[in-house]
Amino acid sequence: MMNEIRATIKIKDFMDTPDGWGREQGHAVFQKLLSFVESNQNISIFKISMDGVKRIDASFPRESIMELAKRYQSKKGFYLTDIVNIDIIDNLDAAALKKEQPIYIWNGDEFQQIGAQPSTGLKDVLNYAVQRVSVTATEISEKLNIKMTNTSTKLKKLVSDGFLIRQEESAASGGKEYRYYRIK
Amino acid sequence: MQILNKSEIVSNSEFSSIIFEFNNDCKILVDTSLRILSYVNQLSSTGKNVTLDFKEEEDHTFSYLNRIGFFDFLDNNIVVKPDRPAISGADLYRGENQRVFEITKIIPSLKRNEIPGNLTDKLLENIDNFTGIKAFEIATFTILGELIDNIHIHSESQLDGYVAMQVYKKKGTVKVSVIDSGMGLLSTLRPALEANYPQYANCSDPELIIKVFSEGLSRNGIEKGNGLKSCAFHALKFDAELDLLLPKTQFHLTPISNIGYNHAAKAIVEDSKVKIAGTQITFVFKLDNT
Repeated sequence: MMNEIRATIKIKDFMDTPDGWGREQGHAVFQKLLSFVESNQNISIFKISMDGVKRIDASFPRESIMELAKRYQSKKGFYLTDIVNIDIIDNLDAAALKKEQPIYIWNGDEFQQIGAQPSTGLKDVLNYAVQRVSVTATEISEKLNIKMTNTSTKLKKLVSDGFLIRQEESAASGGKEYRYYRIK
Repeated sequence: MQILNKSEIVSNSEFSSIIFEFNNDCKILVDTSLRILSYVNQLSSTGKNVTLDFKEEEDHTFSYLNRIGFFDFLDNNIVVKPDRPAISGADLYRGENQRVFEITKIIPSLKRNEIPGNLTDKLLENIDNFTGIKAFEIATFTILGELIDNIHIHSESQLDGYVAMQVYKKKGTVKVSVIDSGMGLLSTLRPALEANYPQYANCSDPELIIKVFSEGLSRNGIEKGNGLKSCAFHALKFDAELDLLLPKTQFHLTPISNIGYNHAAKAIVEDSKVKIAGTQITFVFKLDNT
């Protein structure tokens, strides 16, 4: 089982003011975020709390949050929480789309997926996976009645595109298997 | 001295001195004020002798320009007739009128992080609450942040840019205008099209403008350039009309329900009568209960 070590990034702590705008400011925050992530090598999933962030434009999150997520795509996962003004989601979405990066926004057990969207052929597998903390290819193949090789291919694609992350773990039957984790 | 009528196109190289005559009580809009300020400062910076003739110091136009701080940012070499105001109306009445906002100067080489937030707050303080005010807050902040950032990133000019806003209560509109004295949006974008967006290399200027606001293009590559697109996205929530002034052309884009600004036929193009360097973008929001 994945060592479920997660870390919280309160992005306001990396900003000089509650308002984030522009490329330069975004890049400056990105550098700080990068240092934080690099100093937490064993963490696979980062919760980015928007608590305290009052307003952002589209360039700021593109150069900061989305650049970070893109940098670690398929290796680490980043998701967003604590968004007070829902209208900033439009700017987060625009930023994620520009980076071709999917990002989850979680509010309790409810989520919204912004940015890059999965292709039609991957949606069923993704929808199943995101409802659970983690899944295996065997489980999905059985539940969704999809051939094992097809399932593995789809899950691998979802990882490489940034929708899930995975870790190799010991299988119940012995040997190794990949376990696929939602980004939460 | 040649007197120009409004149909003549003027090349800046054709004269060394120029007089701008303001008719009594001409009603000047805030974005026009920015345009004039930017243009006369550009002319003065190139050594032209510039005179602004207001006929009477106390006429409406002079008073209005003084109130928004126009003369505070006017190049010192520009002559004002009958005289420059003895006291800055902007300094005197700053913050007192709920619909008029003083011009803000943007120095391209000096980024002040507080400006978009402060201007947004100022505007919100002077608008009556309405259903979409939270969305309007983000719309305004996005537009100010992105357009001011463009002055710092793209204008490639030593001359200052400017921001102006005004609430027109009777019309129920809010105008937000940002101008710089740089190369102009298309002049910086077109050289990069072949490398970054070859499919648009043969687009006309109006078509390219629509692409900028609907798809997001940048001379810095396909991973940049969602700033203006985001501005347009937010502005469309309020049926905002968009005026874009470039050195040789001006565009007026009107919103179309469920489509946006991406209908080329709705981009009304007029050749500019004078060549004003830089880019001016003006959004006119339609709000409830302003």
